[in-house]
Amino acid sequence: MSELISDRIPRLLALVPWLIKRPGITLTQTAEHFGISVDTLTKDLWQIVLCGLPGYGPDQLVDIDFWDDDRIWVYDPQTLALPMRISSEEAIALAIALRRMSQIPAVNEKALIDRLIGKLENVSGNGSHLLEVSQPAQIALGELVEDALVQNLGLSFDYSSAQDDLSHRRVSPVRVFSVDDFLYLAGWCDQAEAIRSFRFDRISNLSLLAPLEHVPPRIAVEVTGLTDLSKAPFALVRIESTISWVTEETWVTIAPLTAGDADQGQILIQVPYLSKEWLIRWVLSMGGAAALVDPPEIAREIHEIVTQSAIRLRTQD
Amino acid sequence: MARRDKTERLLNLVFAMMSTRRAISRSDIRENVAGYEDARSDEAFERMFERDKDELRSMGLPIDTVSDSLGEVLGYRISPSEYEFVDLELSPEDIIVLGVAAQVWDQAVLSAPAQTALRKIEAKYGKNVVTPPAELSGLVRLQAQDVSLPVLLTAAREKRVVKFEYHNRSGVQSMRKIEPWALICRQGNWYCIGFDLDRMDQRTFKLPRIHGTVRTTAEKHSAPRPDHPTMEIPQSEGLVTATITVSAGHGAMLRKNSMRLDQTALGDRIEVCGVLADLVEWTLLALAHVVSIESPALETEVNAAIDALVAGHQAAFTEGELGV
Repeated sequence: MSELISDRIPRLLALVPWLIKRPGITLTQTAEHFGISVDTLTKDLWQIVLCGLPGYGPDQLVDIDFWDDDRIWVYDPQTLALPMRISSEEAIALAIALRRMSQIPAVNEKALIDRLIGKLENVSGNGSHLLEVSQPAQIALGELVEDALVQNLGLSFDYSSAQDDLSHRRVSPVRVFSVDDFLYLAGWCDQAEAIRSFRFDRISNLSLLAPLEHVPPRIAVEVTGLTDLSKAPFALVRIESTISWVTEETWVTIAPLTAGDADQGQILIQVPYLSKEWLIRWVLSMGGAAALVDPPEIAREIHEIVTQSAIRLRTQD
Repeated sequence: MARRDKTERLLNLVFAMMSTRRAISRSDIRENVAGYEDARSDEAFERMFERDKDELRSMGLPIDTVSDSLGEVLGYRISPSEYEFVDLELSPEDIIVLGVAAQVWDQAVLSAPAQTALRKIEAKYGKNVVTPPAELSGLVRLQAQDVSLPVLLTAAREKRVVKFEYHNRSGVQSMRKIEPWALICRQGNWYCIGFDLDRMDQRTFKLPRIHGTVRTTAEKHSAPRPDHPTMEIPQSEGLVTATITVSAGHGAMLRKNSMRLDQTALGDRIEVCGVLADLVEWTLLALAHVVSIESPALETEVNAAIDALVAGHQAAFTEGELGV
């Protein structure tokens, strides 16, 4: 168990007032609500009933009953009856999330979201402005997409895929969503004959088409899976110590080295990858400080690209 | 075991500071609050108490230092009126939307504070069981995993100087001392913009290049923070202009940063401006589709990278190397 004390104490302090409002609630419901296991919750409750006011006699300890048929009853909360105020960091964490939500084109709740940001900033003092998540260059594109969504219009555009090739698309828009600073348009794609997601910064020459005959339902297209690396295969990459900062990336793990590599100040890392194209581009962008070891067929492909490029770039003048 | 004792000690300290009418003195805490009896010496107690107090404050507990008219510290106290949740006058609809907002950080760095905020809100107003509107679910996701992010954010808010080990682009690691101004997410990467106290100029730091922990100092910012700090690299960094021809439909990064684009028979001739290291990276990303490079400085760098890449992947053709 590696839970931080800075995560646990605020939960313990929030737990008691929450329980007071719900006399007789079950351990299971409570654990579910706080996103913890029943085991952790039980430990939390045991922790709380050990605490209280100096003296620590029976009348000075917190009194909670949670051992009869799974239900929790708070008899004496001591000073913990009041819910604690939201800290600046907590208010900022929510305000940043809300600010990002209000930036997404065609969201109906904008007024409500903006009002909430204002309320949270009364607590945090404008701190959410200190973190910015947006691509200003995409505002104009967002406005066009919003028009299409509001008026049920089709869209046509050129799309350069992750594989770096360009295709023309006609799309019936469903919604816009974002992951970090990337905006995505989800919609029914006539070419793919399926719902597809398109990254805004890969869209060009966007234009609005005639009103749609069949408006796709505005369903929540699942964001998950786009960057889910948990099932991705690993590539083995040898890197120079000059880019050892790469090992600080959370998705990178350091692999054991042979003695020879260690002598040369090299590091072997495991890099999860979802597409071959991404892996090749990533290795290339490291400017020679990274070399792919495994899978060998992709390493050969990189070798092919760089030798061909050398010939092409060095013979034309 | 030691950690559980600490949770208990911190909770008991909170109880003691909340129940006192005026203030609880240090000696009172040492003698009467369960957990402090372990302190073997005055110094050990002082260190323990100072750390506990700082930690509780960082969790948002409003601990007041109570002094007499001469400025002598009498003790400490948490006033219930300051501790208590301030009424935000939230409607059931508000709580639904806040519930969605608390999910935005998902497994990312600010997830815990967002979740705790929601718990406090729900403890005050009651949980809303209504499912959020479909258009809001999965609308936004923030994935930052850099543990330095919350530390830098707090330092920026409190206008404090921070220190950390940083790997620059050339791979040189050094201790940097900066006044963090803002955090920015670009292309899925997180950066901190701030004033570098050694270079006496604005600098941008990529969070994964920070090595180890960020230490917040007691020192306050000295340089004025711009209203809207941007990542635009100051002129002193030396911008380079280059012209590159890329096959149509390729070279997204070059296109995005282009100042001029002409379609030619060989491909799109793109004029870009930026720091040389960026231009090299953007060119390499599109390498398989680069037709020509017209700028000597960029050409030299790209050629060096190609040579290193050829050498690094030679092993793919020679036997015996692959069984690593």
